[in-house]
Amino acid sequence: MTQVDLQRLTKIYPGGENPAVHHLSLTIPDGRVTALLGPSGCGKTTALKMVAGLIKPSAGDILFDGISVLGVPTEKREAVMAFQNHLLFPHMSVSENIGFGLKMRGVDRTAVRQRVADMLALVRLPGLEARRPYQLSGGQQQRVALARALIVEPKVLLLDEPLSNLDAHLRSEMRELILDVQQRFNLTTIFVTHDQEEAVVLADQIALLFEGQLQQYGPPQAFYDRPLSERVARFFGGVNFIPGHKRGEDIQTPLGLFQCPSAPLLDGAVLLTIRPENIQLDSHASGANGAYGRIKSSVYMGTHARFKILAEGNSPQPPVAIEVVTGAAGVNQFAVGQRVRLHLPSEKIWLVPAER
Amino acid sequence: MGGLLLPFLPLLLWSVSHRWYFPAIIPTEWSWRAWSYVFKANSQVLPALGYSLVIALATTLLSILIGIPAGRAMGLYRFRGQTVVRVLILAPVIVPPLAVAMGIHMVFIRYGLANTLAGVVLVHLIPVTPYVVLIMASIFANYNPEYEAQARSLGARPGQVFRYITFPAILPGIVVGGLFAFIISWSEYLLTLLIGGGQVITLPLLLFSFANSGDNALTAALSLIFIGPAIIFLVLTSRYLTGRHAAVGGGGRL
Repeated sequence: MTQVDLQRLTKIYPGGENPAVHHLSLTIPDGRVTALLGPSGCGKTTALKMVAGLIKPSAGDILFDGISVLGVPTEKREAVMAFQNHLLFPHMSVSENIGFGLKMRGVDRTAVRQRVADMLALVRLPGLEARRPYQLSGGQQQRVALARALIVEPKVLLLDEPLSNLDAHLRSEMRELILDVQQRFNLTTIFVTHDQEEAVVLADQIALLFEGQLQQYGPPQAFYDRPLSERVARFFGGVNFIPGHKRGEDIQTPLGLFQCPSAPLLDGAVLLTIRPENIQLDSHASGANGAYGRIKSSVYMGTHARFKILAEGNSPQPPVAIEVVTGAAGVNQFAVGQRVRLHLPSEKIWLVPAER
Repeated sequence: MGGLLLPFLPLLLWSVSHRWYFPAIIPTEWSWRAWSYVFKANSQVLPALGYSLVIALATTLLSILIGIPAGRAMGLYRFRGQTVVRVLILAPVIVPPLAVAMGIHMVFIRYGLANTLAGVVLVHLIPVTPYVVLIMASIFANYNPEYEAQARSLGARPGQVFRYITFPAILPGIVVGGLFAFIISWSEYLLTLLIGGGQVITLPLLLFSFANSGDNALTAALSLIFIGPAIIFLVLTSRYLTGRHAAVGGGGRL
């Protein structure tokens, strides 16, 4: 039950040219899961370690429920971090690992033993108390690490790449486990990841960082439907960017005129973007917000089909490459070389600033 | 182990022989003279054994206290001038100890450390410390300091982090470094002679003087006493020299 506020949090490493984290301001809601997302080296782990108290910020402040914790040492901060490589203490058994935090707090042995057993049941590893870390599989180590962090009942749970070292079926299992315990304890959880898919499936809120700077902060859908820049859109798999000129609700592009009532940008040069799965393909129909194109290639992907289309407008300008994703049946419906009509629904069109 | 002990058989025979001349395989006359001298109330042997033990244990303890932080700095961190520091740490192994000891002797006289137990311990640290630092550096080179961060995050105070995380991880290095330190200090002759100035008599000093006097029985008995503690230390620590807990020739435990 803790709200975490980062206020212009900055970290400059000695000898580093650019700040690892620059003026990061975030309000991380109480009892929710928040992802710090970004490519490697974007400063997300540095930010997480600053919240944990393992790295001292160069500037800015960290507040838990409105109270600065900068003066609180790591061991008293109650923001427990679970590291990426599990880091189970190799010279201790599973139960000693899980009970470590309680032992450090001077809890008596019988109570520790009981709580360890409860925790092992919670992470669905009952009866493994006496095992050594090297006798566990990667997924089991991950769950022991989670139990070890949860047993001290932290105010804030910090996870570094919680799903990254697991294979596909363990990922979904671990994801459910994290969400399960997070909801049970109503824990404010912050995790770091480089994988946008991991962020989307696990987080209520995502903070996207590039080069130590916050790019966008909001629920996962916003990154798909309403990206703030071309870079953000591309990081989330956006591929269609059509240069245009906005005047009111009209966007003039090489493919013709498109209507976009929802975009918040000022009039002028813009990039029109739409997700490939939101474009409708048709062999004949016509109407507003459309363009013609020729199918260059198609890939059948089991559950869906992906087309590369060269679209052209009426004006004598070079064609624009557009990617379209349809249902799997689309691969039978449309052939390479075929001329098709693309329909871009106006409510699915989004505008980002044209970058120079 | 039996093969290891075989060379000590002649020593054992010498220590209880009275007459033993070529070509006899075993002594022709036996005697407890050497051993009864060793344990005689006014012999120099037992005080020398005590001096040797105190000096070797103190040197070992001090060298480990120096070796842990120094080894951590050398093995874990990269800093400007590290190569120079590495050479300086190795220097006492390369430079002949006599050359160093002569100069240090002058300084020790000025500070009243010459002819004292403390002075001998300090001068023993010169040949001992490089080995301990290098062993600890190799342990820390394979050490992941994130375990300490993890422990702190889980609520361990700095003292608890050392006790429960760092210490168990570097224990193999401490044991092996301590073994080296003990054995080097235990068998040190020249530096003890120079700095001890005849006031601090350790076993090696006694051993050399008996060997010079040509009393084979007494020399052999003293040699056996001299070897004893080193063997005991080696046996106690052997599990750290090989196998999963090995501190040398590979990784430590973390």
